[in-house]
Amino acid sequence: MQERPGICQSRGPSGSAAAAAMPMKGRFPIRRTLQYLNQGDVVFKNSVKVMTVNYNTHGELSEGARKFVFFNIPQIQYKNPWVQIMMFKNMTPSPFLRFYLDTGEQVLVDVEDKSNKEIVQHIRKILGKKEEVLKMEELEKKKLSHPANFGPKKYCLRECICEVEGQVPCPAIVPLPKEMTGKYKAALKASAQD
Amino acid sequence: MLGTLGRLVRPPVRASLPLLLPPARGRKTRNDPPAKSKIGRLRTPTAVDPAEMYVLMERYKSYRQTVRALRLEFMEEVWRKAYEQKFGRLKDVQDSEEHKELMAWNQAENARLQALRISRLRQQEQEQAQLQELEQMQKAREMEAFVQEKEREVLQLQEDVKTFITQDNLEEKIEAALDNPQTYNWALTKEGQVIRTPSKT
Repeated sequence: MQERPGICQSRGPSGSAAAAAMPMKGRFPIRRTLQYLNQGDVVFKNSVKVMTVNYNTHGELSEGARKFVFFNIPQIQYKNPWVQIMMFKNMTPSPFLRFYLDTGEQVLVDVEDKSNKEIVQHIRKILGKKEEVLKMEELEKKKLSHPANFGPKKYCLRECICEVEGQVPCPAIVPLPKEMTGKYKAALKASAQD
Repeated sequence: MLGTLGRLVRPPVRASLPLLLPPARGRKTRNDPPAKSKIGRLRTPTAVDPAEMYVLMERYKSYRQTVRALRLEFMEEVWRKAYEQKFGRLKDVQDSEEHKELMAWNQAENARLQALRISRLRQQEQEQAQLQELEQMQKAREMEAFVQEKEREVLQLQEDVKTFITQDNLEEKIEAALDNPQTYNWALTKEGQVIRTPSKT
């Protein structure tokens, strides 16, 4: 993610048909889009419970922290909905991050004079789940729901083969040709026997 | 077991009685050799009841199956425990070690930033001190200039005092003024030429 996301700035307001109905709110409304939020790649380990960010509203050294709070915190919160994130302004002369783990350990991260990209890379390195671990978890999740199973919508992808494109449509909606009905086939069999 | 004494005591076996019980180990122990009369004796195999045999085999099969399954279950549990004891904690140990490493790296990073911050603050202090010095020097210079200016004014005043008119030299000054009349009736052109009116004699 770039520092200043300029991906969609050349296009108009999110070029979907519903753009007119959905007004853009805030200074950088791209931060509210799902695509932007999904691009965050920091997934914290299960032991991280709380994250606090202390930063200042003025000062060159706090610029990276301010950008981090503005651009990257939404992505992190989206990917870690169960981590509590708190922001404190102008409480200390220098900006820092503090993580509270479930073991009671507190991890202090100094972010003075760092860009927001560097901060994200730093926390990803020390407290983020590794790529392989994320892949394994995704695989495990996939194993739970087999796409080839047919059943209730709650548990399976489809309920009946008639829902699949290219298959025979549901006879409740489109009546089957006479030759495919069991009634006809039974009648045919009966007449053949006779 | 009892030896010849037992033979005298126990009554002799009669062949007319049907053998209802299987032959029990009465007189001979396990390790005693069979009797000479029994050399060349061939037993006719016991008759097998097929139905009973079938039932028996089935029961044996299911029993052995059950017992084997139970045995394997318990063995598996034991193996799993042994494996876990040996290798189970490995992942946790690895994770905690990795965590320690990362925390150490984080601490190093923090220390580096702290050093940078200290040097930056020191530099700022030095600059501040320099600026203050310059300011002080500037102030001193200004003060000196002011003092010199004042001294010059004082000297000028002292010189001017000599030309002041006091009660003592009042008559002299009046007479001097009357003797040397000054006319202020002159004008300046734009070019800077002084135009005086012609004096009336």
